[in-house]
Amino acid sequence: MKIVVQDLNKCFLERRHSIRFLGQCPPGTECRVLKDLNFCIEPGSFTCFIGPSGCGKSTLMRIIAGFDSASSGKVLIDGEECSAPSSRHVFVFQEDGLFPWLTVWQNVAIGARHIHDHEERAEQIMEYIDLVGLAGFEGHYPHQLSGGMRRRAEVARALIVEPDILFMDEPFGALDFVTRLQMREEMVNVHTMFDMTILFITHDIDEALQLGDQVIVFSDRPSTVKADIKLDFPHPRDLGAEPLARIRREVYYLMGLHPAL
Amino acid sequence: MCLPAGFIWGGVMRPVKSLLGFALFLALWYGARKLLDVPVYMLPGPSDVARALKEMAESGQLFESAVASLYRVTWGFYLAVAVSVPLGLVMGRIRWVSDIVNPVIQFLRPISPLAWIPIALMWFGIGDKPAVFLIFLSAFFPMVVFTVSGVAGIRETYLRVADNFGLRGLDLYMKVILPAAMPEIVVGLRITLGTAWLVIVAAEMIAVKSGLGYLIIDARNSLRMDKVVAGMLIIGVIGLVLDHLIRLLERLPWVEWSTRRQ
Amino acid sequence: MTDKYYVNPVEPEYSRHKMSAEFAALLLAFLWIVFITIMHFTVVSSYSRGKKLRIGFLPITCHLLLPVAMERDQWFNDHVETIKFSSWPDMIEAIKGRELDATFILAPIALSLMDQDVPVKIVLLGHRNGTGLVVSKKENIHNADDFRGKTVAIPIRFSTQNLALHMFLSDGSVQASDVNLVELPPPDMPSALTSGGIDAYIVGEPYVAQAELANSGIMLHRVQDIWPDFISSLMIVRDQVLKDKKVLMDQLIHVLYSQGEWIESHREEAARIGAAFFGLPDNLLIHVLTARPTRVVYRRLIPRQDELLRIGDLMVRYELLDHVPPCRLYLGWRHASR
Repeated sequence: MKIVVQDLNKCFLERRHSIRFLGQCPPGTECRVLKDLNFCIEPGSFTCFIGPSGCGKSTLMRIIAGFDSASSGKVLIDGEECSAPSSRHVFVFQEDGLFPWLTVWQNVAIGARHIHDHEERAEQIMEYIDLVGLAGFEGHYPHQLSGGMRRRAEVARALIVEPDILFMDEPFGALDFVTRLQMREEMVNVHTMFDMTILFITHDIDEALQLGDQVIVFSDRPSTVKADIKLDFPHPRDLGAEPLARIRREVYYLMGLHPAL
Repeated sequence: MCLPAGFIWGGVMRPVKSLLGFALFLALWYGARKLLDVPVYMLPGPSDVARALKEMAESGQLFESAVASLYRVTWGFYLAVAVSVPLGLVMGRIRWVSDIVNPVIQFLRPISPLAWIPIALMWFGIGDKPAVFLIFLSAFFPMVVFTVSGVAGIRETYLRVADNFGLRGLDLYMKVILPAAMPEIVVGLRITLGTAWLVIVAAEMIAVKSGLGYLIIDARNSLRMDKVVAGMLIIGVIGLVLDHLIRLLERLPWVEWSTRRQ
Repeated sequence: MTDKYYVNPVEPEYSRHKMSAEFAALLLAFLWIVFITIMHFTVVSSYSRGKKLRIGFLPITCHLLLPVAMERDQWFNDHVETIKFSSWPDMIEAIKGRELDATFILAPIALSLMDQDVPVKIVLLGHRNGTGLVVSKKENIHNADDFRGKTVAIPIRFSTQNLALHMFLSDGSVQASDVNLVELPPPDMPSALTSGGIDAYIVGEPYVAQAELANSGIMLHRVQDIWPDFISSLMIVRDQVLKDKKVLMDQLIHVLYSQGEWIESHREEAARIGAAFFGLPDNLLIHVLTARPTRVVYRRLIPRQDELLRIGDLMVRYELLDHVPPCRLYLGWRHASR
């Protein structure tokens, strides 16, 4: 799936008194979130969006997925303008998106409803649970699992749909450091295994550089594309070695940070 | 052998403590009668009531009354739940339905079911039907309110995920909306069943020939205070059992998740 | 534990989740309602809505004709079903709602039903006298003037007891507004008198005798001293029933009327029958029926137009009705008086 974003703009009508945007957008006025975005994502690539919080990355993702509409400009997916949400676009949210009243097996089954044959479906579900390393836990409820395991179950539920595009909105934000590193590694493997386009929002520059084939850096509101970096390096990547180390320093500077942090 | 004090006092001792409460209650009852020297027709003592209980148990009157009351509560309560929960789910999801129906429900809700007695008798005559109707009323309105609030409180994420995976129609209701609203619905069921059990006694004081409410009114007409108090005890005991039974629902996966979620 | 699934990963959905807990709960709930419904219809005696005449009553001596007829008359048992009520309003709803074919009811209620154009006719009286004005022993009440400022219980405003109390008070030139009148269910009156909640009450038997036997109150006046040949309850029948089941109804009136004559000559036996049927203590009813032959009278049970019109007049005078309604009697008593 080749995704092309052309001259994309998004404005909100600010209704609330929000402390977050105080001074930027008085209530009742139009507030521009995304400004003249232009970029292109290659089919089957792993693309990371990074930028300051509140800059509109999630809004952009929702527009690409068809859940929201742009104020002007367009999004072309394989040359076609996308307007309605499609079940081929699957999200993994930052918060826990597993249904807590269903077992892991039943949760994954939610994503497998397109498989009509009973036995084949059961087989597929087990296969995907196995793939994310949760075999033996399929009868467990989410509250019986650790944070990392819950994320993996969610990934399994998304993968079984065999989506064209997998949208991940800060999926590992709530995990502890070690689990995050493990999940990164697993995501690289998943991407290698399934030839699908992945859009991945993160705040973590290192995470973006570890994972992405392409990293797009956004500015603060109204968001513009500050940098569009192609990373054609094999995995696993060593961020300390050149030329990745140089790219890492540049991204840090772009976001107004010191790389030695 | 070293058990933490909390385990003994909070765990093992709990049933013992509630038994202690009942023992105190009994002692107070017995003592008050002895000290104040009240005649049986004012307040019968524990032994009078025990004798009345034995008499009613042996004649089968107790069992018959309990069955009749439970039958009416069950039907009224089930009918109310069967109508109110689907209605509440739809009202919680579809704005215009709620805009139309909600004012009427809020208007009818504060009217005591007992105020409906004359109408119940007119419409349903004598027998089980008016009592079932009153129980229905007592359970219906609160259950709608609890269900609507359960649906309104569903976390946005679950709805977004459901939308994302293309869950629609009945599938959406059965897999997401109902289980997500279930914890609140079960709270509603528990409170409402308690109310229904309160109302049944009053409902059976109108033209029926059976039930625990009738048992009390009949005992009173025949000047048997010991039977009146015995009837009250049985109502209390069954109410307690019903509450414990309905609390078992809290262990269902559809309900338990809300207390276990981190 | 994981190996199990590697061996045979193809497991159908239903075998992995044999039965969800929710489904089990629903099934149990269903089984419960089936169970309790079956129990209800096997254990609990329900109303047989057969061809029998359905007659309502309250457990008071004024309605004693019914249990005596049940005890003594097989025809009665074959053709009549009695339905016990515990309050007048319920009984009114039931006769209005056509759940009852006939009922024993307070005379003023019957008149107000006629005023509301409810199609019923009066066929028989329950008994005569059988009411007393009881005062607390603790209070010093001897005549009407002593009632000023006292709390007095009446069974219901639409009762001849209420009318009799008004007559008594106005004889002593006491305004009804000088007395605090409260409506109380008759079974509660004796205990309310004992506890001091009320100072006096006027009610039908056996609740007069109860205070006497408990030694908490004394009967200041028998009602016949205020209102000779006092009427409390009477029996009304729906017009439709009189039309459809005329023969049956005539026979019923005859049977009930003849029970009155039997009671007059077998008072103690009748008291025992009534006590067992109403669930009242034996000695209470025996006291009521045998202490004095005029205390309750089961003679002259045929309703008379002039007596009922007088009740209507009193109701108008004491503002229970705007005007005296047409008094509709049924002449079936011709059979009865045969």
